[in-house]
Amino acid sequence: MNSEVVDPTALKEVLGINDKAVLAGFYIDFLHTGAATIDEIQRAFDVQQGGEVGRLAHRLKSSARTIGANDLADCCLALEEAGRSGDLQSITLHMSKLPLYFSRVGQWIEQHVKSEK
Amino acid sequence: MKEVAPIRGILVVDDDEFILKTTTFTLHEMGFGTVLTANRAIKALAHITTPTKPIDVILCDLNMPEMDGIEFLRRLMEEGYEGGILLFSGEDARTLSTAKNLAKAYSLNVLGAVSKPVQSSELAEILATWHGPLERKHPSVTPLIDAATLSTAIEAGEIIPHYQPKVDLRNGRTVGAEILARWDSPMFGMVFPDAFITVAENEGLIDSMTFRLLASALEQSSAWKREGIELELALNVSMTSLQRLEFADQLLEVIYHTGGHAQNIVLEVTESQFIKDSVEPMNVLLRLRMKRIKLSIDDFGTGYSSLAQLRDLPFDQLKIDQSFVRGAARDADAHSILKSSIEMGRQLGMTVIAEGVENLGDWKRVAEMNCDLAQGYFIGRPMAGERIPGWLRQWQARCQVISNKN
Repeated sequence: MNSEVVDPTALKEVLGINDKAVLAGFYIDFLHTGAATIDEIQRAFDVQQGGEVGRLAHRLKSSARTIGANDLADCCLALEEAGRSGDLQSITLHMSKLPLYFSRVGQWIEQHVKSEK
Repeated sequence: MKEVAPIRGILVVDDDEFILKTTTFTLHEMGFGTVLTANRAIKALAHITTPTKPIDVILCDLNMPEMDGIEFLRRLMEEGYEGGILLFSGEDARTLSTAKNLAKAYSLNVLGAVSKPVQSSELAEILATWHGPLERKHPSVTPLIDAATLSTAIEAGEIIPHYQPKVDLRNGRTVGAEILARWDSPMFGMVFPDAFITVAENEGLIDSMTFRLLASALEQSSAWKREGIELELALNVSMTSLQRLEFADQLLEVIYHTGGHAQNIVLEVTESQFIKDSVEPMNVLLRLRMKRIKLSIDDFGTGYSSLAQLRDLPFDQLKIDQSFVRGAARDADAHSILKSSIEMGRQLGMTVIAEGVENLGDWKRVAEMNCDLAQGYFIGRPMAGERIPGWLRQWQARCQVISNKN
């Protein structure tokens, strides 16, 4: 398990609990809402709406930080800033990385949930 | 205990469903029963303009589609919203700080502005700064509470006791309840004690208020007993009362007259008050203790007592101030003070009570430190006497869950 992909202490501190089953439920929930947001970001990107890409990335950033997925959150921050300044080149660059970061988080969560069972 | 006004309802406004879920969960864990959510500011506004439940605090994101957080704040100002507002956002610190200043410029009641993600302990700390809508809602109310108004209220029985439970940390058993004064005013609504206790002390009304509260609580206690509920009652006593030697006899008279038992009464005295002026109060407290009334040092850690004074004073209980209990989650110094205060109290043979237990983390921490009893929002908020039996049933169910989590 790559412990750097997700900081396992983050979500515990946000929720104020240590209950593995509850934590697992929230991780899985993140994957669902996160995947939906990634789709929305992709659609906005496909029609070159940089501002919307930035706004949606801002939203995903907060969720990602909540579960401790800091690399994913950093990528979202870069997209947010690029979206704000209308820098399509930078948006394109970070859009190419976003699915990879998200899929790493997905793998981490899958392994983590299995190992905690 | 220094009181924080209860938060009746919280509204969380965020366009991210995941954040709404995590925040709602955290707030429920902290013991807040009513948590509403809105994924758009316009929906949140509807909760304020046409309320179905009282919303005392709004947790508000800034960056949202359609109506953003800044516009929402302006609309709240227009609506004259008087509750607390906590801004939480993924924006950078400067943006967050500017938004906070803007909200203050709108005369909104800003409790804080924090970056996401907000940790449970941080949230508890900020929400504890909430002091109720009354101070904002009726800024001129407090000066209007003059001696005559208050005296009439006392005579009319409008000063009523509410009760906050105290439970045993080892087995969750409810052992007692602290009596907290409320003024159920037909004119002002439910008024918290910080608005009238000082007036009562300065105008010579505090004794009659204390005696009436105790008499009323003892009657309630008899009603609980008929339902099989036996609770020790803890009464806050003012240093002003303890300056008068007759206070002891008068208090005992109230207890006996109402059919109460001295051994089921605890008097809570704030440590900082006690230290200032300890001769007359010592006399009164000693006499009461000899009649088997228990004595408790309230808000321990906030005064300036020496260890020798603690050794010599006839106290049975030590209530550790909530700032150490809450602060221990994040602050190493507060953690050390909490731990050593519990150890010291126990070594002196006192029952140690942790005040301000607001979440499961606080509960576990003080339990691990071998504290005896706990009191705080995690367990139960101050409530009217008739709500205690229902609360007890709920608490017993929650205890099962808590012990399973350990």
